[in-house]
Amino acid sequence: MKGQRMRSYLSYMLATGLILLPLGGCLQTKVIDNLDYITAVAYDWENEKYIRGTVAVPFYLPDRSVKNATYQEVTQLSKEMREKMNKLTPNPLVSGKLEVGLFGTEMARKKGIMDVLDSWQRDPFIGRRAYLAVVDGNAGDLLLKAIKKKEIGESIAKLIQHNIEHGRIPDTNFHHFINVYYRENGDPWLPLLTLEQRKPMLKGMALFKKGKMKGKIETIQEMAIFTFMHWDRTESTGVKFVTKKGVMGFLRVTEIHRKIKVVQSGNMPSVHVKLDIHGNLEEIHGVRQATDKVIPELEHLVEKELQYQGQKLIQKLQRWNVDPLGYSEAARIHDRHFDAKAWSKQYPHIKVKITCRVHIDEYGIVD
Amino acid sequence: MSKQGEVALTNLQKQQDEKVSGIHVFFLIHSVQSGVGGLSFQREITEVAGHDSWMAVLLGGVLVNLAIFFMYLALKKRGEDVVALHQRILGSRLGMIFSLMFMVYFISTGAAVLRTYIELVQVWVFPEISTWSISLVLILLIYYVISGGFQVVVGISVLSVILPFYLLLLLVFPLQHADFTNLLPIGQLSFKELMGATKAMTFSYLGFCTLLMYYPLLKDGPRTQKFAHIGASYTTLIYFVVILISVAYYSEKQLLANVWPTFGLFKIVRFPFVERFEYVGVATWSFVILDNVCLLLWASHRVLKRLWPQSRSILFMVIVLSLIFLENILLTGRRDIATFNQWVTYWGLGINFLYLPLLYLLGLAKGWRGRAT
Repeated sequence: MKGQRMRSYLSYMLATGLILLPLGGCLQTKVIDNLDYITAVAYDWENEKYIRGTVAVPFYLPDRSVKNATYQEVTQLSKEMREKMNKLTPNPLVSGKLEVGLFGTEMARKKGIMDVLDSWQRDPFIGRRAYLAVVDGNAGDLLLKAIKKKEIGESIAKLIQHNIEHGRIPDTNFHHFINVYYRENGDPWLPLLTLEQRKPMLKGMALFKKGKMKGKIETIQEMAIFTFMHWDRTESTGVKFVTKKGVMGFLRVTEIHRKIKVVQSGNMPSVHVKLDIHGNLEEIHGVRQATDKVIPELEHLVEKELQYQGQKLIQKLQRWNVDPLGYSEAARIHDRHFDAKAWSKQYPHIKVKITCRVHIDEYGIVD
Repeated sequence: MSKQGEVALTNLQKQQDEKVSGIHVFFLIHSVQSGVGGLSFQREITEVAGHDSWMAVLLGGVLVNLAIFFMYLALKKRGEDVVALHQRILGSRLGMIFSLMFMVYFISTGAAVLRTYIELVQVWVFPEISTWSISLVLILLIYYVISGGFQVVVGISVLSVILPFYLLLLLVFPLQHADFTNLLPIGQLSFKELMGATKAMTFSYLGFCTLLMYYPLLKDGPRTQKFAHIGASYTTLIYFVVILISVAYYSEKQLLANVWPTFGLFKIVRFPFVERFEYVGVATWSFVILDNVCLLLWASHRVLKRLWPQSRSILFMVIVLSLIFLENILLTGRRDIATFNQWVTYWGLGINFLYLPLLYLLGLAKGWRGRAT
C-alpha cells in the first residue's frame, strides 16, 4: 500500500518535471557579462527629419579600470538607433542601466525632446530616476570628447545629483520632467551642461515650454535666485552679493520660506511672492567695523539686491513665456474655476511683485 | 443505534476540523479584494473624478462594508451559503440556474485575474515569454493549492496578505517626490463624477462575494462579521493611501498615461543592489493574485459540490483549468484583455450590487408572506 502510494507520488513528480523541463528553454537568457549597458545617450539635431544619436557604453578592463566605447548613428527614431548600433557592438545593447539622456541645444530648441521621450516612457526598462539634461552646443561631443577613463554616464549623473542634493538646482530627473510636462500649468526645466576642459560641467538651467527649450539661465547668480524662487526647494545654496558701497560677501542660505499669493485684480491677476530667507554669512570683504554692527544694514542691502535680481529674472521668464516657478500652479490650487488657457495667455503680462526678508543669523566662528 | 450516532458524531467532528476560525475571514476578504485591481485603479477613477478621486475610494469602501453587512444579514440566521439561499428563495430549478451563474462568475473572474497578471509579467519583466508556458506553471500551482481543500486556500490567502506587505513600505520612495498640493482644491467634482468614479472603483473591491460560499465553513459564523468588516476597511485604507500617494506623485495627465500606475510608483525605487525594483514587485505580486484565483476557483468548485455532491472534483478542476488555459492563450494583447476585464467587471457589479440586493428583498418578502400565512 505504502509503496504503491510512494510510486504514484514519484510518477506525479516525474510528470511535472517533464512538463516543466522544456520551459527552461522558453526564454532567452541574458548574462550580465555579455551585455553592453548604455549608461549615457545623446541626441542631436541632424536635419528636419533625422536625429544623430550617440551612446556611451562602459567596459571594464582586467586591471579594474574603465573605458567608454561610443557609437554614433543617424536615424529617425530613437529605438531604430539602437537597432542600428547593435550591428556594431560585440554584445547586445540594453538600456537597463541608462543614467543620463542628453539633448543638444539645437535639438531641444527646434525639434523638442518629447518625441524621444516617448520611447523612454514606453520602455519599462528605463528607470524614472534617470537624469535628463540639455548640453550647450552639441550633445554628442560631450560623450565623444570627454575623458573616457571614468564611466561617463555615472559621472554626469553624480554631478547632477549632488548639485540637486545641495540645493543648487531644483529637483530634476526623468520623472520630474514628464510630471511637469503633463501638467496643464507650469513648465519643465532641465539642467544645462557644457564641456569644460574635457569634463562635463553644470552650467545652468534650460527652460522649456512644453517639450521645447525656450531659454537658459547661465550665471551662478541667476541660478541662485532661480532656486530661491522655485517651489520645489526648501533649502538652497549660497549667494554672492555686492553692495554699492563696495561691500562684497557670501551668504549661505539655511532656510527659505516662500509664500505665493495670487490676487485677481480686475481682469489681470497679479502675483505677490514673499521670500523669507535665513542664512549665515561666510565671507565678507570691505568692512572695517565689527561684523555685528553692519548686519542690519547688510540685511537690508541684500534684500534690495535680491528683489532687484528676482524682478529681472521674472521679466526674462515672462519674455520667454515660460513658467518654471509654478505661479500658475499656485493660482490653480486656490481657485476652483481656474482657467489654464486664459492664464497662459495672460502670463507674459501679469505683474509679479517680490518682497524679500533676509535674516543673517550667524557669521562664522570669528567676530 | 449507537453505531449510527457514532458515525454522525465523527462526521460532525470532521466537519468541525474542516472549519476555519473567525480571524481568517479578515485575510480571506482582504486578500481576495487586493488583486489586479490594485495595479490600475488610480487610472480608472482619476479618469472620471480627477484629483478628487480619493473620495471614490472611501465611498466604495463604505458600499462594500454595506454589502458585507447585508450578506451576513442574509446568511447568519441559518448558517447557509448562497446555494441554499437560492434553493430556499427561488426554488430548486431556478435556484440551480442562478447558482450556476455564480459558478461561471467565479471562474471568469479568476481567469481575468490570471490573464492580467500574465500580461504584467510580459510587459514588465519578460517581453518574449510565451503565454502558455507561464500560464501552465501558474495553473499547475493553482491546481495543487485547490486540491488541498479549503484550509490550504485559506493558508495561501493568509500568506498573500503577509508576504507582499513590505511593498507598502516602498511607497516611501515616491513620497520623496510627491507634491500634495496636487490634491487641492478639494471637492472640485460633481455628484455624477463621484458616482462614476465609485462605480469604476468597485472593480478593485470585488471578490468578497466568495464569502457567500465559504460562510458555512467558518467556526461560529455570526461572530466573524467584525473580522469581515475589518478586512474590507483595511483594503479601503490601503487603496486610500495608494491613491493619495499616486495623485501627489503623478500629475493628473501623467497618471492617466500610465497603464499600471502602481508599478510606476515602484519605478522610482532604487537600491544599490537592485537597480529596478519592479522586478521584485512583479514577482511578489504573484502572491497577491495567487490566492485570488485559488479562492475564486475553489468557490466555483464548491458550487458544483453543493449542487451535485457526487460529482468528481478532479474532472471539474481539469476542465475549468483547461478552459482558463485556453482563455489565457486566446486573449492576446492589451485590447483583448481589457475588453474581457471590462465584461467581467460589469458582471461583478451586476451580481454584487444589483442581483444580491434583489435576492435579499425577495427573501425578505417571502419571509413576511410566510409569517402572514
